[in-house]
Formats: sequence, C-alpha cells, structure tokens
Amino acid sequence: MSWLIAQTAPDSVPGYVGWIIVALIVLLGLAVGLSDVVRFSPKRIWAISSVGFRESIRRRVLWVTPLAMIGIIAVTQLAHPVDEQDAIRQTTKYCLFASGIVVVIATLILACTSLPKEIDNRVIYTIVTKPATRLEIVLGKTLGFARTSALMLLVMGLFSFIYLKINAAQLQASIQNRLQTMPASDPSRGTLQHYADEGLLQARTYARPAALQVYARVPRPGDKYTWTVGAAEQSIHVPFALPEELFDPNHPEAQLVFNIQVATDQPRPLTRREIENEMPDPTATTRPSTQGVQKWPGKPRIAVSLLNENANTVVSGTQLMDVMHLDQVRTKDPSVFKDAQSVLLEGISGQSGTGRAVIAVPPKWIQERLKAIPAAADGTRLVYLLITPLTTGTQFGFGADAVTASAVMADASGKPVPMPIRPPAKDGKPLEPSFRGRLSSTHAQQLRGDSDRAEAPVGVYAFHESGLVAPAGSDTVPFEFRTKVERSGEAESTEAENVTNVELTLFNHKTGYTSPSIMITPDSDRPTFFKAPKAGVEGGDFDLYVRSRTDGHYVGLRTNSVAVVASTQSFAFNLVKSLVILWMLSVLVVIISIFCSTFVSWPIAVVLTLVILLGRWCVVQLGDPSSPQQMATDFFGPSANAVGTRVFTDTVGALNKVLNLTAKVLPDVDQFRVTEDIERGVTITPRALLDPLLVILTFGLPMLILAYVFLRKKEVAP
Amino acid sequence: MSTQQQQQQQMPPDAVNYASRPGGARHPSGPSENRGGGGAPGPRGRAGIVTTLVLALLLSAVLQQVAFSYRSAAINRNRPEGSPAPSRLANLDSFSLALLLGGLRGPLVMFLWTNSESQKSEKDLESFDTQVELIRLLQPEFDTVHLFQMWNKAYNISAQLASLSNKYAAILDAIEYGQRTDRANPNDINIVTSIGGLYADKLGNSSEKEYYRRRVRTETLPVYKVTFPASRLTEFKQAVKDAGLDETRVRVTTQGGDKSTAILEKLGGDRVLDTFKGTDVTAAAVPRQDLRPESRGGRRTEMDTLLDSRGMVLPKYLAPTRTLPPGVQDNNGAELQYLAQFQPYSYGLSPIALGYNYQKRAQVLARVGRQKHLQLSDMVVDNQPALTLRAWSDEEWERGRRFEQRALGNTAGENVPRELRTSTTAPQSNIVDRIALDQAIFSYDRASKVAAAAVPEFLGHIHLYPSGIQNYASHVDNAKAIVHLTAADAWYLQAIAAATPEERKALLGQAKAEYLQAQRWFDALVLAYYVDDPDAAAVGYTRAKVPGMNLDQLQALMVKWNQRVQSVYKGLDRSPHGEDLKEYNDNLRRIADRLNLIK
Repeated sequence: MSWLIAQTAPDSVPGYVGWIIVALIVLLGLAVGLSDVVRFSPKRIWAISSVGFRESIRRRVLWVTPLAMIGIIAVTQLAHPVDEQDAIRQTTKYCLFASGIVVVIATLILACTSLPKEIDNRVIYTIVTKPATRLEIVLGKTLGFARTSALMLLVMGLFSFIYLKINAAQLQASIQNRLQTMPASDPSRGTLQHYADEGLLQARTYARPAALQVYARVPRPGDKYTWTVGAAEQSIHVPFALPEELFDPNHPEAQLVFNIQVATDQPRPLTRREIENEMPDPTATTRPSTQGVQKWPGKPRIAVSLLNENANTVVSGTQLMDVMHLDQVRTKDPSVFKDAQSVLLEGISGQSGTGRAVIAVPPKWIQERLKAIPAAADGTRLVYLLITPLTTGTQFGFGADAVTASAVMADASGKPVPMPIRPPAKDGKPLEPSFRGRLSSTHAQQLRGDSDRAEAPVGVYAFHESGLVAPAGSDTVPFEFRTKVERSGEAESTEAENVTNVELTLFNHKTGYTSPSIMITPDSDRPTFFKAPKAGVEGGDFDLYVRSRTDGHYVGLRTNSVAVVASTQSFAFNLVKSLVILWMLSVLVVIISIFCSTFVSWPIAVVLTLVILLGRWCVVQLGDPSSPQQMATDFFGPSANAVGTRVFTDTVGALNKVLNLTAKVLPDVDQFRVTEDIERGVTITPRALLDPLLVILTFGLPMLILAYVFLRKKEVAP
Repeated sequence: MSTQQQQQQQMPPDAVNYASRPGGARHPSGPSENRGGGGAPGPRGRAGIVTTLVLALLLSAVLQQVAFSYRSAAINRNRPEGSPAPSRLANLDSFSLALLLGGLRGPLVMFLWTNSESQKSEKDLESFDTQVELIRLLQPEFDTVHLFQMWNKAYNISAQLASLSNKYAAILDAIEYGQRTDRANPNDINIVTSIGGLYADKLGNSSEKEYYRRRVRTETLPVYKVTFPASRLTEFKQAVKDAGLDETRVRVTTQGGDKSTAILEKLGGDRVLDTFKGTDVTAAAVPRQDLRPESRGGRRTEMDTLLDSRGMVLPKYLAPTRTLPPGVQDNNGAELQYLAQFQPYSYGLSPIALGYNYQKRAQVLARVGRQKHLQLSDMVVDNQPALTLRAWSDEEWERGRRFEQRALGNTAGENVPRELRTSTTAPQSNIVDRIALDQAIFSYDRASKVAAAAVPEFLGHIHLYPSGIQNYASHVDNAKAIVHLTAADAWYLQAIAAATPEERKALLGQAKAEYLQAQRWFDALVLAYYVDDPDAAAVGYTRAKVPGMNLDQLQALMVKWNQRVQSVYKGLDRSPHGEDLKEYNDNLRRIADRLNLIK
C-alpha cells in the first residue's frame, strides 16, 4: 500500500490546482443558486446578521472578556522578564494571545451551535419562511458573528492598549530610577538609556543592509586592490558562469583553468598570538631585532576549491590541480598531482609584492561534479571559486581582474584552445566577487578582535535604502545590532569585566561624510542599540563599518545582524492592525464553523472546525522532521537490515506525501500571525494584512459557497 | 409545565407542531410517560437509602481527612513544625493547580517545556525565564525539575552569553530560583545541595572564577553612602583617583546644590575615606539592596549584601527559626548558620564559603533528617562540606599569595611557580601597599582556620564512610600542612609589618615554628602518599611508619628520596606522581627559603 502511494501520489501539487478547485466551487455555487444570487439583498443580510449579533450579546458572550483580562493581569504578574523591554514584549504577547483565544473560542462555539440549535428548536422556521434565501442566511450569520467578534476585539483591544500604556509608564519610571543609581560605565546603561529615550511601546520599520563583506581594511574608491587577512580568517568567492560547451560529451578532454594574481603585504613580524596559533611554516624567517629575534611570515599561500550556489563544496582542494607546482610530485602516476589545498604563490617578474597561481579542474571532475550542477536557462552553470589566504601575518590584495577563468578544449586539429569564461550577470550587471569572514559554528562570519585598530579586520554593511526617513527634530538615527560573541583562549579571564568592544563607523556615499567612531559593548544574541549621526545615513546609500576591538573576542556577523530604523509609526495603529488580523482569523473560524454546522451536529462541528483549522499545522509538524532515510538511521542505526529499512522509509515517505497533500487543501492559519512583529516593536506591513485576506478569499469563500450549497440542499423545514 | 408544553410555547406561531400529531412526535414523549414501571419506594426502603447516604457521607469525610493529611505531609515534608507554607497564589501546590486549571496543567507544562527548550536551542532567551518560572509554579513538588532548571540556567544559559556580567546575572538567577524553591519547600536536600554547588563550583571554581569571586566578595559587603559638601567634589574625585578606583564606576549625585552624595564599594571606599576626611564628611555603610530601586522588569544583576561594615554576617541571616536542644547538631533554620563560626569576613564572602554553608546544611539534612538526594549518593552529599572547606582554604591561600605580591611590589610573573614568587622576600623588606598586606595576612589566617576546620569534617566523613579512608586520609594530612604553612606566612608578613625589631623577632619565631610544622607535614605527605612501596623500601622505610616519625627522621628520608629521584628517574618530572611531587616540592622550597631568611 505504502509502495502504491509512494509511486502514485505526486511529490508536489502545482499552485494553480488550488485556484482551479476554487473556481470549480464558485461555479458549483452559481449553478446551484444562481437564482439566489439574483435575489441577493444586502439589507436582508444585515437584518439576519443583526439577529445573530443580538442573540450573541443576549447569550452574554462579552462576559468572557473580563475573565480574559483577569487572566492577562495574573500571568503578567508571574512573568520573569530579562529587562523592561522584555516585560512589555511579554505583556503584549499575553494581551494578543488572550484576545485571540477568547475571540476564536467564542466565535467557534457561537457559529457552530447557531444553525443546529435553530434547526433543532425550529427557530429556523421563522427565517426560512420569510423571503430570505439560503445564501442570505449563510452570509447573514457569518456577518453577524463577525460583528460579534469585532466587538469583542474592540473591548480587548481597548483593554490591551490601556494596560500596556500603564505598564509602559511604570516601567519607564523604573528605568529612570535605575539610570539614576547606575554608574556611568555600567555595561547595561546604553540599553537602558535607549529604552528611556525611545520608549517601550514602539512600532518601527527597519531597513536591513543589502550586503555584508569582510575585509582586512576598508576599501576606498580608487584603491587598486581589495585586501583580505591571511591565516584562513577570510576568503573571497569569485562567481563564474560555466558555458554549456564545457560539458559537451564530444570534448571529454575539456579542462577548466583559473589564473589567480594576488598582491601580498607582509609589513610586520608575527605577533605572539600568531606564533602560538600558526602551524609550522618552513618558509617563515627569523631576523634579529632590538627586541630579540623576530619571526616573519612565510611565503604567501592560498587554498582553492569550487562551490555551488548554496556555498557547498563541489570540487575540493584535493581534487584541484596546482598547475605551477606539478613538478613537486615525485611519482609518475598521472592520477597523482599537486593539489590546491596549499598553493604557493609564485612571484611575477617585474611586479614586486605580487604572486600568481594557476589552478586546473581535471576533466573527470568537470564531467562528474560540475555537470551535476543544475543549468540555468541559457545552459550555463554557476560556480564560485573559493580562495582562502592561508599565510599568517600577511594581507592579500585582489584587483579587478585578480581571477580569470578559461575553458581549454581541443579544436578540430586537436590543438588545445582556451575559451574565456565570463562572470555571470544579474540585472544586466556582472556579479562581483564577495569577501567573507571565516564561518563560525553558527554560520556567522567571524570578525577577529584586535585592540590595534589597524590590525582589526572590518565588516562592511552596505545599505541602499532610499525610503529612509530620519526622525524629525533629531540629529541621530537609531540602529539595532545583534551578534554572537565568541571568546578564544587569548581572551583573558581575570577579575575585570573584559567586555567585547565593537567600533562602528558610518560612511555616506552620497555626501562623503564619515561619522566619528561609536563604541558599543554587545553580548551574544541580545540586541544592542546605538544612535548614529543623521548625516551618516542621509540619502540612504551608506556603509556601516564594524570592527571588534577586544583581543581574543570574535564577533559573528550576518547580513541581518544590523538594522536601521527607517520609519516609525504609532503603537496604537500597529495594535489596530494586529486586531484586524485577529478579526480576519475569527471570520475564517466563523465560516468554517457554519460550513461544518450545515451537515453535522454542533459538537461534531466544533471538533471538525478545530481539525480543519489546526490540521495544516499538525500535518506540517508531522511531515517536517528529517528525511525518512535519516529517521530510519536514527531509529535502527546505520547497519540495520536493508529490507526493514526500505519498508520503513517507503511507509514514512508515503505517509509524508499523503500528509503534505492533505496540508495543501487545509487553510494556512500561519498567515494570521499577530504577535511576532508587534511584540518586537516592528511595524506590521500591509503584506501581513494581505496574506490572511488571501486565505479568506481562497479558502473561506469556497467554504462559504459550499455551506450555502449544503444548506440549500438540507431540509430544515417542511 | 410539561416539556411538550414548553416546546409549544417556544415555537413560533407559524410553526407546525409535529408533536401534537397522532404518532408524529419526533422525540420520545416527556416525563408524563411512566418509564420506570415500579411504584414509589416504601418506608423501609427509604430508611435504607438514608442510612446508606449517612454512612457514605461519614466514610467520605474520613477518607477526605486521610487524603488531606497525606497531601499535607507530602507538601510540607521538610517544613519545620509551626511554620506553614505561606498562602499565596504562587505557592499553590500541584494538586490545587491541576484542579484550578481544569486538568490542563499537564499539557500546559508540556507546552512550556518544549517551548523553553526550543527557545534555548535557538538562543532566543527573551521570554525564556518567564517560561521556566511558570514551569516552576506548575510543578512545585518536582525536585528533578528544579535541579534541571537550576543547572540549565547556571550552566547552559550562562554559557550562551559572552559578557561576564550577563553570565554572572544568569548564575545569580539560577541561585535565586533555588532560593525561591527553598522558601516554598524548605530544607529539601536536593535544592540545598544545588544552591551550594552553584556557589562553590560555578561561582567559585569555573573558568571565569576570578571575576565571579571578586563580584561576590564585593557585593556581599555593604556600600558606603558618603555625603559631603558639593564644594569638595573635586577633592573627592581626586581621592577616588588616588585610591586607584575607576571614576566612572562611582556614582555621585548633587542635591540642592550644596550637598553631594556618592556611593562607594566598601573595599575601595575604605581607601578613599582614608584620605577624604573631615567633619563635614559622613559615611554610612548601607546594604546595597536598600539602595536598589524597585524594578518590575529586569533580572537581578548583583547579589544582596550579607555582611555589615565589620564583616559580620547580618543578623537576619543568622537568626534561627527553630530552637535546638543543647548538644544537638542540626540545622537551626538560619540561612547562613554555618558561616557564623568563621566571622568576621572583613574582605567579603567567598562564593566557596557560601557553598560550604549550603553543603553543610545538606549534609545535616542527610545525616540527621535522613533525606536522600535524588541524583547524588549519600557518600557524595556527606563529603561535600569537607571538600568545599578545602577549596575555600585553597582560594584564600591563593588570594593571600596575590596580595602578598602586591603588598611587596613583587612583579614575578606566571612563569615563576606561585609558591616561589615571594619566598625569598626578606623580613626587613619595604611594604609597597599596606592595605594589600593586611588583606594577605587576613587571607592566610583565614586559609589556616578553614583548613583546620576541614580536618574534623574529613575525619567525620571517614568515620561514616570508611571505604574512602585512603583518599581522605591524604586530604586530612594535606589540610594539616596547609594549616601550618598559611599560618606561618601570616606570621611572617606580620613580622615584615612589625613596628620594632623585638616585635619582629617574636613574630618570626612564631613563623619559624609554623614553618617547621608545615615542613613536617609536607615531608610526611610526600613520603606516605607519593612514593611507591618499592621506592620506599629502597630508601629504607615503610609508608605505614611515616605518621610516627619526627621532623629529623623525615628530613633524612627526604634527602635519600631526592637522591633516588635523581639517580633512578633522572628528575622529578619523570618520577611516578611527578606532577603532585612538583607541587609539594615548591611548598617545601618556599618553607626552606623562609627558614633560611629567619635564621
């Protein structure tokens, strides 16, 4: 059975299938009840909705709101926040969570019980015997309960706003008290001051950087080279679009050759840290000096490998050929060659301080590995040449044409002919190489800390945010910085605080303005706030330079580690948007409840509605775990019986497919997320309002039509 | 009114009454139908029912009482008699919570557990503490939960932070969690042991211990609230600078324009107040918690003051909650009962000392209260006070060495063994930093007293658990050696500070006597525990006879043993137990250096 499902069920359902089903349901609705559509009267719908609304109020549904309010106040008292902002964040979450729960449960029960009870106690006769159509009954009931939920949300929203305001005022007073009693150098003072200045109830739109690059020093316009640090601390990724011809089966001899030309700078002897950390390098030299014997860096070396678009290794350094040092291999076995794990840069005559390397990809790996990369529409395959400078105490400079590539293929006469390979283009512009820091275990780019500013590597965040609006009446713009700090053995553990000092500088590309250095002391995974001069961000085209200035402290950077406040909005308006999303959720609940109550009794309708609402989430949770193969390894171990493993993986795979297909036809309630943005003080975007609306249109509307069809066919009165 | 009539009344006027049709009722008819078939019960039957009901009521009352007693005993199993649990919402036991939450306590706890653990792995710690607190409130009697959460906060969460102050705050939070649990369910061996472990092991002995120890020592002391005329502000700032304090760490507020108030840490404050004096300057020692503003948000970032300005433990931490009969050894309910014996703590409390206090309380709960730890064996619980005392003594010893270096302006670095950095300092040396010298003397004295207290602790443990005699006997001898060595160092430093040559001579005499005792114990340690039997036989002794030997005999054997090390093993490093021997060798070299200087 599982085999059958695995074979027959499609792996994925195309997106348009859903639209086709929606269209079919609409057509079915029209076919069944065109006459009702023609007789459609908004006035009657409003009248029916008013009956439902009044009935809900008569059933004292609003009495549940004070209970929710008491619950919110009680849970808030038990909260154990990290700081004042966290306290507000948690209170906001409780308020919205309680509002959502109250509204969803109330509307679920009201909507599920309404029709069955009316049919049961024959109240429905009073309606169906009037000139109201079944379509108007369904729509009227939906609108009635939607009005009820709107009223409940209005009450809860008002309470939430007032409660949050009171809380924020109390917490602000607490912040002021703490600031008054806190020493000037306390590490948490900056954050508290930010809360005091900016307030705790915020709604901000953040702008994120477009790119992050990590260099040895900040590149300036007109610089011949862009510099990186050695010791495998940084690397450069150079993109290439490999032409289709390279993979032509008629050219099995085709080779791919990269020419690398790098400037090197070794301005100083190795430091104590570098000597301790460095692997023994036979080419390192020692020189006597006034401070004893100094050790100087060895000859510059690099490591080279090829990556795919997802930064996974496709051809490793051991599989690449260091063409300039093939003579170092003492064996005559042609399959053995000097690899590219540690390539010595050979000097170029007449160009002091410049080294060169030639790297070739053997035909075997072109056919086996590179060909396996998915081709673009034009037949090219995107690869990145990863160059990692290895030599400690050395800086490596890459010019505009530092790396070139060519495909070497035989012509008709069998003579090898090089064919230049161009970098791929995006939006008509060639893709630039990217400079990156070494990745940490959490996949952040590491920035080594150095108390000597000239030696500290720099991370450069590029912002291109034309819509940036600096706060009126202020000379500064707020930023948020979040990082992961790691301490190496070099970081001293003493009685002192030994905080991580990070230096930030802004450079405005439009005006050429460079801001004074801003020092912050971030901690891991905690937001750190700072303000930068407005002049640094005006125009929206600016760079932010980041340096770690504490020895032995590595700062992990990601593209989203930093954000600038692009604009602000009133918290009340943000709260209203959250409540609107909650209201849309309640409308969806009403629709599903009414749909279910047209063909099952109300208790079953309640359960069925919950199943439909939560089904997709449950399915995603069940279908989400790792691959069946991985599960089989986890359960039975790597050396389990092959047949048993196959049965298990097929069964789980089939189950996954069925679950995923089921998920496609259930509503995506994840689109109704309300707390995430508002609790973090982030403006709720129009998109966040549009997505739930789309769910109502694509799922709710067909359900409503089906509810009408079922009700029309149902005998509710003689 | 019958159901049928009610239905008819509720029906709209235009509705058709199916029930009124002959045979047309949709539902079975109402109570007018006689379904039971039997008549009303007679008087005899009624009496039987009444009797049964009365008996059932009585039985349920008895059962309820039994169940209530059982529940109370379970909840208050360790609470002293006459001190019922405080009645607060947060103190509801799990039985009441299960009822209150309509049976949803279990699912709610499961949700909180998975959520908090996934937040931890995603390093999103912003509402983590709240979830842990809710778990604590929902599972108040589950000790394993508390043990896990205390460990979780102190080790897993603090490790995710980079800033030492935030790490410290996370550990304090774990301790506070334990103390909240202890208040709700006091004298639980699991919780008390964990609190002790967090103080002694995490704050006292982790890789960031230097920072933590300084914070705990500083914060357990009060702060000075110094008031002076605003016109002397510049002079005050200069005094702060001269005392070597970071100006930005000192908070000064000027109120009304004529009076300034500054808050100074006690140890630094003593230095400032030495130079910044006057009738218009007032300094009051205040517990730091009295100055801490009320805060609804934010976790604790510092400890509470536990000592007064003389270093005596604040009375509220020593106040017993129960009276013990004379001669009975038991916990008296005071929070810091076992620290009273070592008062004063002039330079603050060591976290290891605090750890000892809780480990001792746990030991007594096991020995007297017969409680069993959920995760540790009885033997481990029992040996912790002795081992913690040893660790505390070592800390004071190391601290003494550091202050001795500072006091004498000694700049020897890490490359010189700790014991030898100041060993050749002559008794007539100049004192560079008198305050540091006083601290060094205090620390040596404290190290000696604490090591002396460890000896009966070890002996008591060996008495109860003789299987550990081999291991703990060496601990006892080691502690005795430390008692004398650190006491000798204290006398020696006092001799350096002596006002007159006569006084110095007398003090050096005291030092010499202690150094000789220390030499005897270190020699005995080496010969009894770190020389293998074949080597001992070759040198000419048996290890069992070592405790009975005098210093001269031991010295003679040590000379022979050292010759054997050189001739057979070609150096200490290559000899068996080389690492340990090297450490004791340094101690013995220090003693020899000092004895030479005293001559």
